[in-house]
Amino acid sequence: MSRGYAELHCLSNFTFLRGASHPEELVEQADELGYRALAITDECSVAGVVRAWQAARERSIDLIVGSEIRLADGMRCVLLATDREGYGQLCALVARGRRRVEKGAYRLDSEDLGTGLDRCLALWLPGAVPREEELGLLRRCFPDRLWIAVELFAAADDRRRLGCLEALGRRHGVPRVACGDVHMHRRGRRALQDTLTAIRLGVPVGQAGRALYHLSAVAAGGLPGDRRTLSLRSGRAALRVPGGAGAGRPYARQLAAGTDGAGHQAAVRTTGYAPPSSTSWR
Amino acid sequence: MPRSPASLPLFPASSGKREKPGRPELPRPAASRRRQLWLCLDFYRLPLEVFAIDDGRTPLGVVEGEKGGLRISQCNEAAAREGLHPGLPLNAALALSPSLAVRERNPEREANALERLAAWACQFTDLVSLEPPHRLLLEIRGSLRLFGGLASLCRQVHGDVEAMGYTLSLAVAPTPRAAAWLCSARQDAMVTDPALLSGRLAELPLACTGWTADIVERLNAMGVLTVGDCLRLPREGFARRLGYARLKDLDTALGRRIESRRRFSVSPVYHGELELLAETLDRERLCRAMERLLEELQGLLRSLQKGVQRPVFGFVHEDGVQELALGLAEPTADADFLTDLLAERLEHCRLEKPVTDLRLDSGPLADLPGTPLGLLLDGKSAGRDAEAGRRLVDRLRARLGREAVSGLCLLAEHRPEAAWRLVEPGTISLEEGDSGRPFWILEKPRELTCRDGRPWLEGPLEIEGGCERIETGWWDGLDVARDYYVARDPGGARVWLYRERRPPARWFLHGIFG
Repeated sequence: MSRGYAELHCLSNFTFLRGASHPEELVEQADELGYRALAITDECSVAGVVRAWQAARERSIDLIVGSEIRLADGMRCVLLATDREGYGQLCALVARGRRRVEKGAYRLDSEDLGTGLDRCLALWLPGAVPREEELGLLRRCFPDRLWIAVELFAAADDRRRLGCLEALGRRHGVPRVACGDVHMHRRGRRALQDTLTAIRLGVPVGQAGRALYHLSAVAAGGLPGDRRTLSLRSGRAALRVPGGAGAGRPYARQLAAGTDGAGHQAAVRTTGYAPPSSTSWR
Repeated sequence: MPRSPASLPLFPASSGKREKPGRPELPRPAASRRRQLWLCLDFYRLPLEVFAIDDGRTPLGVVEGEKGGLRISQCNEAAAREGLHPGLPLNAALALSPSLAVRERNPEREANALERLAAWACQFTDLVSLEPPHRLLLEIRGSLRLFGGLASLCRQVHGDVEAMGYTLSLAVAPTPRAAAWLCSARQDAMVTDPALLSGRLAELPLACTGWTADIVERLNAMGVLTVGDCLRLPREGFARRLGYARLKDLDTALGRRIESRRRFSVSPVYHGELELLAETLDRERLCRAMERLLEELQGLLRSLQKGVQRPVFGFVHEDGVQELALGLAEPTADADFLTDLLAERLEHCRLEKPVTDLRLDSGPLADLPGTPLGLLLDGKSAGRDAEAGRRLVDRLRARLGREAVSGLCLLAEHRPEAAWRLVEPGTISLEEGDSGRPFWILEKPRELTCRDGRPWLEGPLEIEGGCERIETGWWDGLDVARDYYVARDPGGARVWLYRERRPPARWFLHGIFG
């Protein structure tokens, strides 16, 4: 299998009560699945990258350092470091946000994104109802370094959401990139992930309702018997392969057609970004 | 009667001089006091009517007196047709009418009935006063506008009383005492102008004053036959001979002395009982008889601005009581609605034995729900629709049973079969439903056959659009892993299918779009 896809949005268990897999498990699984690269993007933290790096250096997969950020106004994005300097900028941002409030929480505002992140790339994570002003703000902070993260989880309204994000991207001249919002490396961690969610919300699992993810895997068109489905654990839970490797899935086709080139690879090309694993990380 | 210069007439000349102390003083007119208007309701057939609602067929007599000397004190029309009249000895009455139903007068029952009527009357005014044994006095000056004038108020009173099966005589006067006296004359007199009061009172025979027979006889013997005759007597001599209290009565009747009435206060619970003349299983008769109790309850509820939600109807038979409890979706104070509900319940409920007595308990009273009033007519009609909906629920429950009618409420759940539950009708879902799901979900998914690898439902199913994956529920035994599709069957109907993600990966029909 050609190494094509890179997962750019993946949480490890260093994101407390959300991620359900160790960083090294995620890296090993991604490598086995033939991913080109994996970004570990714990929420306002880079703590997971050490173990991920230890696992990645023995393998052929590239590791990307990043972090998922939720601003005080609710806007979410993923920041990815492009090099050693970008890593420093990301760490400075994390430290700034964590220092403002008590341990375990963080607080970042849109002003924090305005400066000192010129060596980082940004992926916008639109909410259930995408807010256009968020995209406008990010465009000012990350000119030519911004993508819209299109994360489709085989929900009933996937098609509508994709169309909406496509239109937004075209209107603002922002390319789209396929991501998976990965929370676990195998489907078997679903019970653990649901339990973590329930603990985080302080309710029994049975009452957590829609706060739980509605599926653990959306890989490969979803038809049972498909080899890829059986081998790739993906979705908002486990790793998956959209883009080229997922050809045949309806949404993947649309995504590929709608994004510049083959998904996120455009991101790599347009910025001349080389995964850190090849330079200063080893 | 010649008027002595030394005497003090009840109506002194305009130069009216001050009396000396020690004499019965002429009270000053209460000019500063807010003008009042009193309505007197006289339920003069209460001794008879507390026992039952007259069905026009069964002769009924109420007897009074020492044992052995029992005499008819009141009888209904059916009895009167057979020649009975008040004062007739019981033995003679039974000889005239062998089928006569006889009840001994029960003052306690009458007092209870009067109090219930007072509670009912509180809907018309906040000042209701009891005038035992069978009168109520209502101060209605402040209520006239609300009820659309005196005539309209009296019409409503008459209507309600008729529905309750009581006989009423009423009178209106500026003072409570005068209203009571006018009422005794049974002329339905309406005196609203204080200036005309003395003229109207003067015509009344002394029997209307309620003074003891002894005093009335003494006055009659003196040639004083009417209230007007009394008014012409000198105050001093009148008070000395007949008692100061009589003079006070006259003064209060004329409004020269203020009579403070004791205000009746409503107890916030209702318990009514009614005897039936003849035991019966006839639902229509039972409902009609229950109307009196419901009407009383309605008046009480209106005066308190409360409603009942769990009224209990009791049907007393020879061995005990059969109770029917209603549970309403929301509190109501509407007697007609409750009557309808009771009729529905009785249609579907077997009465164990012939009923001899009826009972009604209000249960705890609840605040009436406010009716939403929109700025425009729409809002108003929306409120009415909602009310109609709730009433439909109550009707259906009365007919089909409480458990047979439920509301639906959405739950935050990914699995369609677990995303809803039954609730009390009227409960509002806090959750929003998932879009793109059919309203009709099969109780149990129906397995579909497969032909050429495609699901088959009386023909091949055309799958539209992408799939929705639902894979959750490991914690409660309904662990699902399904891919849902919208499909169109050969007839063009849209259906909701899923395919199991686990072997054997069967196809199921789960819902049908409207």
